[in-house]
Amino acid sequence: MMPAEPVAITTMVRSHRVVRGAVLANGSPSVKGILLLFAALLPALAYGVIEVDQLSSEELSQRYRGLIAKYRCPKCQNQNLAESDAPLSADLRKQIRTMLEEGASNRLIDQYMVDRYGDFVLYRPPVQSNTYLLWLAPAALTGVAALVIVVMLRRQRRGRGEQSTLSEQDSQTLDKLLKQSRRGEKSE
Amino acid sequence: MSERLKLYLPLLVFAVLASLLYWGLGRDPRELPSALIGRPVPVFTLPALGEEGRIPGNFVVDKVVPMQSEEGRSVEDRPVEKSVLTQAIFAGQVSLLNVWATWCVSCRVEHPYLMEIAATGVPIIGLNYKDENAAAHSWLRDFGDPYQHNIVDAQGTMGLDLGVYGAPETYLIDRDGIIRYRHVGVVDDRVWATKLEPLYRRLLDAPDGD
Repeated sequence: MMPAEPVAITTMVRSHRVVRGAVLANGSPSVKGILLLFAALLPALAYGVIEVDQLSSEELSQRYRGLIAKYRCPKCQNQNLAESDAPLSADLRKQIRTMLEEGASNRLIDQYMVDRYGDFVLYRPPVQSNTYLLWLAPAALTGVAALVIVVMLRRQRRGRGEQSTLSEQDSQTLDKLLKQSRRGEKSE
Repeated sequence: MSERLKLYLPLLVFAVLASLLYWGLGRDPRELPSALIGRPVPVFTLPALGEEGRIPGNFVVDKVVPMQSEEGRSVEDRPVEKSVLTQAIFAGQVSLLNVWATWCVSCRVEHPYLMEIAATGVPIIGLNYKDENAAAHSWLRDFGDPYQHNIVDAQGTMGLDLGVYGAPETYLIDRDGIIRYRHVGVVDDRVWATKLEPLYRRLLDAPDGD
């Protein structure tokens, strides 16, 4: 499964030259250069394994493509089965194709994968007692952040309109002292 | 008091986070817990590697292996040329199932430790994963054979059923053929002493039908 490699190498070579172009002579990066660099590196994301898909019907092919995109490769762990080159991944893809041909439902194939590799193999783990924290944490943290922001804003607003805690006399004394110290600083 | 709390709160949070991360340093993020713990060894019918390279005198004479997947401890103990193995070979003994292959470099590193473990009388059953018989035979002949049986899984189907994701892997299987533990990676004497052997001894002492 080599096809993606030459693309990656070319991208790297191109991006090296682009990096040098992205930085101006005085060392500061140019916006256009950075955008160009970004665009040059995009092809590296379009990485997929090329395999002869021998499924008997278009519907099965579609289901197949959907399925291999949603399982994590147990060996590579940061690629799904569609992207991963590993022999294990090839085996699993073959197994999924066989199961599809035999008429297995998507749920059955899900169950097959989870039975052998655990919930980790799904990119969307089931919502159950040990994954509540995983699913709720982003929303909960955002909620906490929003709360903190609201409380801080309220405090600020209150602070600006707040009456001074000093009495009238004391606050005049304070002003005098501040003026004196400023004058003292200026003369130094 | 609240002021002091506010002063020390960041330190407290840091301490908690630091201890959590320190604990995490010792763990391997790539390691997957086996989904088969507590479940029986998957049903299989696969060829055996054959009897060459066997260390004579080290193991009990081969048990009779039923061809169908019947449970049961074998009563007879006569030598039989086994050509096909099923999950019944696990019944009646506490054993290790070691997934290995000649193309796997770590398996070569692990091999001497397996020989030592086998020499102490622990039954080790090999799963020759996606390998070639000729290579496997030479390997066992040259480096020694710690295995009681060797299952030939040329297509990797049993590997899929077990949830194998990288050789070497070693499973600990109890008397009833239930998988109790999986270790991913080389089994050296430290791993054996700290992770596998205590559980092995416990399973040996456990009464039947546990």
